[in-house]
Amino acid sequence: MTATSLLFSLAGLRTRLECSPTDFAADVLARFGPFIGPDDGGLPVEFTAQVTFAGAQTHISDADLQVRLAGAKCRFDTAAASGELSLATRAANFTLRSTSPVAQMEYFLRILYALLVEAHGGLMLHCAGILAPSGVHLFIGQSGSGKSTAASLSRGRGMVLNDDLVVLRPEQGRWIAHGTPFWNFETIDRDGQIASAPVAGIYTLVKDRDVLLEPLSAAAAVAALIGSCPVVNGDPGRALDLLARCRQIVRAVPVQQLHFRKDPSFWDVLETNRRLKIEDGR
Amino acid sequence: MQLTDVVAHTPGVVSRMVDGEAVLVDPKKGMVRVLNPAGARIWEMIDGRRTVAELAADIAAEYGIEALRAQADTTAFCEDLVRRDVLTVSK
Repeated sequence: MTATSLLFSLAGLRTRLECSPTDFAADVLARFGPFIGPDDGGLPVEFTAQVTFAGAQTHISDADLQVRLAGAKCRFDTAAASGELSLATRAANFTLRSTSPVAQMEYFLRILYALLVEAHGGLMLHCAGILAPSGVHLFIGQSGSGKSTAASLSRGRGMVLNDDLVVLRPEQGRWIAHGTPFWNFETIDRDGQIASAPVAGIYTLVKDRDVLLEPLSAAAAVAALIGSCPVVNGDPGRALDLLARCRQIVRAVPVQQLHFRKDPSFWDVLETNRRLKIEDGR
Repeated sequence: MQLTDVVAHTPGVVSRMVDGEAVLVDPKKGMVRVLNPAGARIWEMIDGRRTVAELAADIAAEYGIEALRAQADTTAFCEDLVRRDVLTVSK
């Protein structure tokens, strides 16, 4: 079966996706278009993945992939999707059999990039990211904490990089947030998904009647970040490095608890806080 | 829990001190906890060989508190972490 080669780039890390058959490759291109570019000899290819859609087998459920992570290798092992990726050989083989192969492809890319970004000194964070004039504000928390709500309330205050997953990478002493194609809500404007900018602040979310910022201890901030790093936070072999990396982020970026209600007023609090920090020389 | 029990860190739990508090992580269970400075100090002292009584005695000396209160607080702290699978106990 002839494979179509697609170059997928996210946060400066490029993967060559060899997709077959042709119509599956076309569906992948349609879904991830803004992140797929020509082979222009620019960014090096960090990883190559052979992805084959073996045909929809309707008796197979579309349940989430079972993933087993051990060091540099990750195995996917269900009837709907199977394969292995290796960070050591920088290669993966993946066969899809479900009725939603593009959704399964997204799941594979989420896992691949969580590992790839971590291997390059960064982290993929479960958070909403909004690019305001002051920089990117990241809202972290588990499902239901209000990340997508915060994103949907930010129209006119900033551009949404994503409402579910954002990549952080270190660059010249700063942490840069990168948008991703991995969205939660369908209705949020996706123009910001290819944007990137320095992180201005990170906030854990509390739904409340009052709108205010509360300080967090460095330890509580590290704990909140670790809880927001999908895939890598489930690997015992990565735990110590993950603790150290989250500690690095907390040293460089203010992390606070944001109490907010279901309106955009939290932006006034964030901007006032930012202005006060600048006046104080922080 | 008895004062003569020996407590140890549960295998697989990883920790790091951050500004006097301890961040505990158990990746297989998806658990992340923060211990305040007093709890972090007890956590640091636990080595899998010392009894709860010995830990309490050191806490009493270090913080200048009464022995009985140190025993009660240390026992309660260890019991809580055993319930949360962060410490193991051997009789």
